[in-house]
Amino acid sequence: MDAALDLPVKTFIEVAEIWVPQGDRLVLGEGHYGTLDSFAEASRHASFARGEGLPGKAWAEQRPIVLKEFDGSYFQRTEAAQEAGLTAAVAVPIFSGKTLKAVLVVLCANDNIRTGAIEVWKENDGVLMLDDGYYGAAKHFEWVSQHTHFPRGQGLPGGVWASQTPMLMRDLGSGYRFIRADSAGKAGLTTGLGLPIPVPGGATYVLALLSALGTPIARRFELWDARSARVGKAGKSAVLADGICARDGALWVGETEEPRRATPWQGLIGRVLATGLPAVETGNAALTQGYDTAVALPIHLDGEVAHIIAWYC
Amino acid sequence: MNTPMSWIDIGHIDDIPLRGSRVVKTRAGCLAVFRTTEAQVFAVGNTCPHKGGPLSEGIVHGTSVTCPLHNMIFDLETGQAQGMDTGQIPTYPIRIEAGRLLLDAASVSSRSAA
Ligand code: FES
Repeated sequence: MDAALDLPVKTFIEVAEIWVPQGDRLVLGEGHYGTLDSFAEASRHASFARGEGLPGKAWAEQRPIVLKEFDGSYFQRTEAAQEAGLTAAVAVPIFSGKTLKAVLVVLCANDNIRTGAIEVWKENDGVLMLDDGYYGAAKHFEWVSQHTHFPRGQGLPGGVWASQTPMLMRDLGSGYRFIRADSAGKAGLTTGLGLPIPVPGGATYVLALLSALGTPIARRFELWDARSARVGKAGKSAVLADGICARDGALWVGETEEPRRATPWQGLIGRVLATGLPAVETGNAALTQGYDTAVALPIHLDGEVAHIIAWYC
Repeated sequence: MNTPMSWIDIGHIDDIPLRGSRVVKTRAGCLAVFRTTEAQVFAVGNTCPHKGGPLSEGIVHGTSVTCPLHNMIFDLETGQAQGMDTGQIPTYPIRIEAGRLLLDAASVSSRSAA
């Protein structure tokens, strides 16, 4: 009887944490650490000034940052991270206008056996180029990405740039809209989520999360639209604009049906809507749609929470 | 219900490049006519049920088309969405006779048809 029963899925992202400003420092708001107790402990006692550590650097430099080597870097929890087997991290600052609301940090492990991609695209001379990315074992796809650039409107990053809205792309390996389809298919990447990361000063950043079946970033993605132009000015709310779930299938509805709606404080999305802060939820099946964890991220545009994206794994 | 079908000539097969498409305006809405091989064509609704993407601008592979907006894939024979998503596009009878493309008139005569 040595057959493994129902192996838990190895996820691409091991740790997700939210750092929030308190006075002139960033402190841990909430986090999901799985079984990595000592890294969780080290994080609970950490705080970062502007420019300090990875969260502080994302704050000071007002941009998403990919860090693929902790040793000898500005990363402050290197020892605890290495003990936990973590090998890379991505920090994403959430700004509302000039105000920093929070910094989301995700950490990954085992780059040689897990496939997925977290990419930061930056506008440069009228095209989006790869600023940096973490790809785990998807080495060929990484190379292709480094050598691809996207005009406005083209591909997943270019589509997000042109529309200023998050975008979910399916079946990455089959399409032509997803320009890197060939290599994505070979790497086993299936679903892509692209989202604009507004920062002060007008630089254009697009974050892309590309998920593979074997080591998923998420098994459920949701895109909520909270723009008052879409949901009405009276009473803040958000509607589920698009989504896909490994268990429930399509999460969008046709034009004639009413989409799902969330009001402030109603569930996880409602909390993000009310506070304007990202959220990480774990161990509460009602809030995580039956999955183990959920991460929900607001996108602030023109002084309001315009979109909320959520991923569940 | 065995009324003889009447067919509308919508052009020559060589008007459509291989793995290309043409949009045909009908009373049933815009159709996309795809040419999948030398001598095989399909007529389907041009509008993706997801967010209205123009399927005629999608890529054709085998007998499927990928929507240009978010990559949903539709089987051109059945109109069914593939993969995790659900959804369906209408399909319309079309045939080739001496190189001419003939579309079934009844199926495209009104919005409620088919
Ligand atoms: S509009 Fe066709 S896949 Fe979204």
